Amino acid sequence: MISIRHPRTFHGLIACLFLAAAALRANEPAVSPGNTNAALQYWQAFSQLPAMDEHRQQIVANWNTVPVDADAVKLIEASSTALTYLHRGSALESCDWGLQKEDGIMLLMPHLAKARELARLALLRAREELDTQNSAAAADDIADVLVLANFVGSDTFAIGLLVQDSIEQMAFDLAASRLGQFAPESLRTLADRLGKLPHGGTLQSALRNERQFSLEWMIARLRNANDQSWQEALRPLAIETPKGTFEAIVEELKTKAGAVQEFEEFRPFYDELTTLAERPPDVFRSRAADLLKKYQNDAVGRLMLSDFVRVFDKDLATRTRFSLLKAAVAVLLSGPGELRNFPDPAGTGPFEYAASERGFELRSKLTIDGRPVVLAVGKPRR
Amino acid sequence: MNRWTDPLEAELESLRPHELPPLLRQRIISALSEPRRRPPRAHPSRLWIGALAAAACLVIAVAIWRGREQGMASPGRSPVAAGSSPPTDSVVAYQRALAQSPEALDALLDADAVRPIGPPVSGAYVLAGMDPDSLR
Repeated sequence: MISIRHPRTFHGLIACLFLAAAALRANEPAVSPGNTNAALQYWQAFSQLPAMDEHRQQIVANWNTVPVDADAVKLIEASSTALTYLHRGSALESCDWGLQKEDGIMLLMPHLAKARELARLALLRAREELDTQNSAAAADDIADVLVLANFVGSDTFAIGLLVQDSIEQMAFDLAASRLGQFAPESLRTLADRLGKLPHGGTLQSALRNERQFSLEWMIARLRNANDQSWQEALRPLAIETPKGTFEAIVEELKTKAGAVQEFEEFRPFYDELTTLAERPPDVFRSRAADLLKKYQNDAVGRLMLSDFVRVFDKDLATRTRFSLLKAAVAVLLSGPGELRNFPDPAGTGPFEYAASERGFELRSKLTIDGRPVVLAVGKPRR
Repeated sequence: MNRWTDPLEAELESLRPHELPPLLRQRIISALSEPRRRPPRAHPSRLWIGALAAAACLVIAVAIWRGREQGMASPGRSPVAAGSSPPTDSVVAYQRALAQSPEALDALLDADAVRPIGPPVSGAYVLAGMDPDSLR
């Protein structure tokens, strides 16, 4: 039995224990490794991807249009181990790719291309499953791909967000065009899994990462550079563009101190754009365009700036298509009246419904490049 | 009966200890006759407190050390050798491709997808339709 006579000593001891607990908690990894980390399953999936000759590459590149013939089936069979790991990973709730963002723009992201490849193979298999009336398996494959996409884009750079959008778009296209062939039970499974997808990336988090691990990394690199050969610190950014040669751009920066200052003056650009990304699309587009105009002709702008308005539009279109897909599943399960539960993020009411010869269309008020975002849904099977 | 005397023994017998001086003898006697003072003994609760506080400090030290170890990466410790071209699957390579066009980014991702995970090959740039020289 512990007896403590002095209250002060006791309080000090308790404070010590609390401090110890807090220190331990602060240093816990955000995602604990082991069987809860989906990335460990995905990396194994990547290692099991089948060897690709030119013909197979063509099949994968055109996964949505190639005939599902003997060669395609053989490729699907060769991918089965990789797809098993995809499914295992997609059943987990967290994903830590182990990216060391402190590597800045030199950060290696080998998972982006591999995830895209794995997703295409899964969707090719979903096509085959739908052809053989196995919509339950197809629903699983499509949902697995969407989980992977969200994990790829989560807490990453703008490039990761674009790859997430690209993978999701492939899954939406297949699901929508073949939704009519899903059995009601499979539709319910799909609806359930669509409602439980992990959080993917956002433009705001991508911009914060770009500022911290791209801009600040470059500033630190320049500061650490030799006074005489500081230009070499910028070498990773070297690219021939219509905006001028790398050497000409570096010449404008004149000195190391000047270069550091120019990069530092870019901080408000990222901060303002991050704030703008929370505003309505029209506001973002006009103000972001102004912001880009202000910065894009600076030396640093020419070296570093991506077209974030395009990234914003692509991501917004993907989010809208996701809502359209969920609405389409609900319409197939319970009729067009269900649309009242799916407000159009870009409008004041629900999505528009229009029957067509091939099934029906759901339309958002959102327009990208002057065209409305539409989801064409295939006819139900007879 | 004659007793034989060993010279060495005789010499040893002559080496008797000297008598202690009276003053020293008195001091020893008085020191021995004083009641024995017991060494201070720690209270059990203090021992517990001390042990727990030491354990807490150790935990904090380990936690801080682990935290430092995790955050050690810096621009100077990039896995890509300084001065070498960025690998095709690096952020900057993808950013450059996107700066050219979305199609160039797609092509680079396609090229990286079929490449085994490992060190980059310059051929990947060619597959992606990009000029390797423009990337140096």
